[in-house]
Amino acid sequence: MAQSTTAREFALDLERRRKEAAGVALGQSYWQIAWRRFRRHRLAMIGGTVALALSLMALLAPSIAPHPFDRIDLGRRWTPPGLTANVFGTDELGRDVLTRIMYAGRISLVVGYVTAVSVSAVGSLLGALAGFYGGWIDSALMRLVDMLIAIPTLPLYLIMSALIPGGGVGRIVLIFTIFGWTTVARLVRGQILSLKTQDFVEAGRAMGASEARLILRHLIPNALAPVIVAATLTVGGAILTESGLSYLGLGIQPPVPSWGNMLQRAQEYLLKASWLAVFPGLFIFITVLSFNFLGDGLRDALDPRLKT
Amino acid sequence: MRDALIRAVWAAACVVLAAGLAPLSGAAQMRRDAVVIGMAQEPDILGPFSTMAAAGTIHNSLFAFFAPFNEKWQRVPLLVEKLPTLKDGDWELLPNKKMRVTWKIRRGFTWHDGRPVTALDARFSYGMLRNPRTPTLTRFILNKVDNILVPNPADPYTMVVQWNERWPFANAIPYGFEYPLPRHVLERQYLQDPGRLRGDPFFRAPVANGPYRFKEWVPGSHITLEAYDRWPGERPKIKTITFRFILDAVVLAANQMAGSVDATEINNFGIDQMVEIERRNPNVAAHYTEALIWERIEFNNDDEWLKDKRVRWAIAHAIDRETIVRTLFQGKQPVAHAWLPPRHPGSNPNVKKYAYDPARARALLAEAGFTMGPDGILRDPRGRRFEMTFMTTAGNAPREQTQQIIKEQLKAVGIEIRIDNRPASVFFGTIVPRRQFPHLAEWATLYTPEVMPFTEFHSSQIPSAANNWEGSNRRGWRHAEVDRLAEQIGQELDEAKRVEMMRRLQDIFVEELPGLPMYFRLHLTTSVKALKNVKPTGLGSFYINWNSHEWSY
Repeated sequence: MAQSTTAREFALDLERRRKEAAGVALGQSYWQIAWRRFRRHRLAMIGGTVALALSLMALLAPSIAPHPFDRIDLGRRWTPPGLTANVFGTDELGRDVLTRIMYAGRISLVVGYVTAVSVSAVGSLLGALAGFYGGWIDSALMRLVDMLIAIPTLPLYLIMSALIPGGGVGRIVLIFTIFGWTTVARLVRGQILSLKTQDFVEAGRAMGASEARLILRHLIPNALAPVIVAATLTVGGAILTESGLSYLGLGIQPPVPSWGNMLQRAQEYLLKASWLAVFPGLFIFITVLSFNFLGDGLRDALDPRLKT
Repeated sequence: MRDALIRAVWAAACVVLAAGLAPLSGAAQMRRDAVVIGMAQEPDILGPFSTMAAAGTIHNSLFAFFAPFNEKWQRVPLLVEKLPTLKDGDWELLPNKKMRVTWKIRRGFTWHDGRPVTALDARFSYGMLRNPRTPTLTRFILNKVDNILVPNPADPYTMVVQWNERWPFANAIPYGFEYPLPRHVLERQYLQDPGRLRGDPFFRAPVANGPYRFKEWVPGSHITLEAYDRWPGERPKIKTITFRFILDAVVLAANQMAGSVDATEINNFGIDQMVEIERRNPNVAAHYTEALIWERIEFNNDDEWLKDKRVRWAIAHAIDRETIVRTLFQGKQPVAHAWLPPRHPGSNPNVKKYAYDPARARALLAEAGFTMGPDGILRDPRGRRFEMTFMTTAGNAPREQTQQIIKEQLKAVGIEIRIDNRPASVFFGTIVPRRQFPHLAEWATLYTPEVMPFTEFHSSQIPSAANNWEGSNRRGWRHAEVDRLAEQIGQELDEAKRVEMMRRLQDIFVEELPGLPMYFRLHLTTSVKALKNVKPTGLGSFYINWNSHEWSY
């Protein structure tokens, strides 16, 4: 009896695992399962919490920052970090480094988030068009993707930065979007190619759904999981790339701080005031790491074929 | 345990660092007959077709100049026997403002392949550089020369330069270029195709005539020169000079602190870095050399707001230049009140001074019709917000710091500044030459003591599509008296009269204020104290090693 119970439990457990693996757990939606899996991923939870904390810090910077970010105080240049009015010290113009780190987070994270959203939107749409229609549209878009992937991006960023006037977040996001949509497009195209032959698409077609409706309401939502993962990783990538551009003097214009331009301006004072490089560097490091952990966790949670 | 581990890692890192630096410092310091000069730039080519200061630096050791400037800003004859003078009769004034100047090349100088340097080389160089098919950078002076003759075949060391107009420095250098090129090496390639001359192997490994001969160029690393054994003067005591290319100023500074280089030139150092180098390595001397480098903010004089000189004056009164130079440059770089520094004879100490006076600035702006808006920013008579764009080279720390202070100070009088900086290649490649700055732009110009105001201030020198973007009057300033003075100064041989006109021109400049002088930059170089006879000039084309043949340990 005991043996048969165990065997039955074993069989049920196997069935539950099989269904869970297929994303159809007993009594739970796909997203509930994903959330459960995600919670089990300790690094992803830490990453998510840190990313949230950093986002809140950036969002609330005008309220919680101890000083105005652009207030110059030439009498307080080079104050080292310590338990004073300037915990992270002051920079070459006597501005509070902690305040600038907080405000810089607004720029760096906005660049990261907006780039992730725009890259995902453009990439999803173009990938879906390529996958759904196939033929010359697919060939043309995929060759464009091949071309953009093959070209080294940094020189292109430099040229675009020089050509597009203005020095705001908009320019940076536009440049990143122009060259960054390719990964998402490839992912979505692959998903659409496998989804478009499935029954629910045929059913939708039979019920008279337009092609636009099929793509936007049925296919793209079903291909969303890898896009979310790619978007998360894009956040970290965009923050790093913005830092790189700022390091070359092509990013956000002064006096608006970004972690990248703070780092760039710190290089001249590396030996004299190392804290000017340490703090923005540390925040870039922590942010990128957090989003990468978050992305890993989401990938594991959303992809039923992978073990958590 | 953990502390011990951290200490061990640190110790290992220090050993690795020391080991990495040791061979370099050994090369630089153990050999007492070698010098390593670190530069934050690598030349594209060598010779007169290069615009790069790094190439100019190497030329100082590689070529014998006709008459280089010394540290006292005096021309000293080197490749020529003497500087011609009107009194001696070797500089003659002819009818129709023409001139004839006779030069004698000093005997005993040879090219590094052993052939003698003669006037025929100078004549060839003049013709080659003046040919419109060769990529010569400027023919401004070359075009004033009609011809160069070597009249006596038996005396190939004497040449006569025939000028088609007056030029006050016709006795400084023969035809506007500092050194000749070897005719016997270049003539064949030149005659075949002058347009492709720049690609000749000569410009990667020149056969020159200076105290040091070319030894090797390892791209991305260094160029090495070695003492030339047939140099006619005293044999150079330094046997090899290596120009090491360390493109990052921070890394270059670290190399100078560590003693891995013996000197630096074209180093991109700021004043702070110079102070830090001296503090960390007492064996290094930091040279703050007075120079002719004019840093200023140019106004676009075609702009509707900036056309009004009351607005330009107001901006000058709103900016505290004294505090900027005192704080950012530790007071080492003086405020500029005009465009020539005190050391230049044409400097005018009596020009009008625009003291920091925000109240005066506000009054002038009110006089010009501006009224304060609800957001603390002025509105012009048509109700438009007074917001201007300020451009300069992105990533240039002193300029970007100055800019941010100015932004704050102008905001205090109601002017909003939007900073829009570009990489140096874009800023100097397009923005400045094509006058694409809508309001304010900051940059510097390097002058020599022989500077003439024509290209900088004459109204015919405003770059435009019509004149193929020629000229340096990028502010777009038009002033009839300045035009007349610029023309007269260019032809006036009497120095006293020239100086008087230069001073008058500066008076007008400061009164009209088509651009705001900021400060006179110093030329910043370093060298180890053990290296003797290092005498930086602070002048363009004459770098720290202009007298390297006189150096010793």
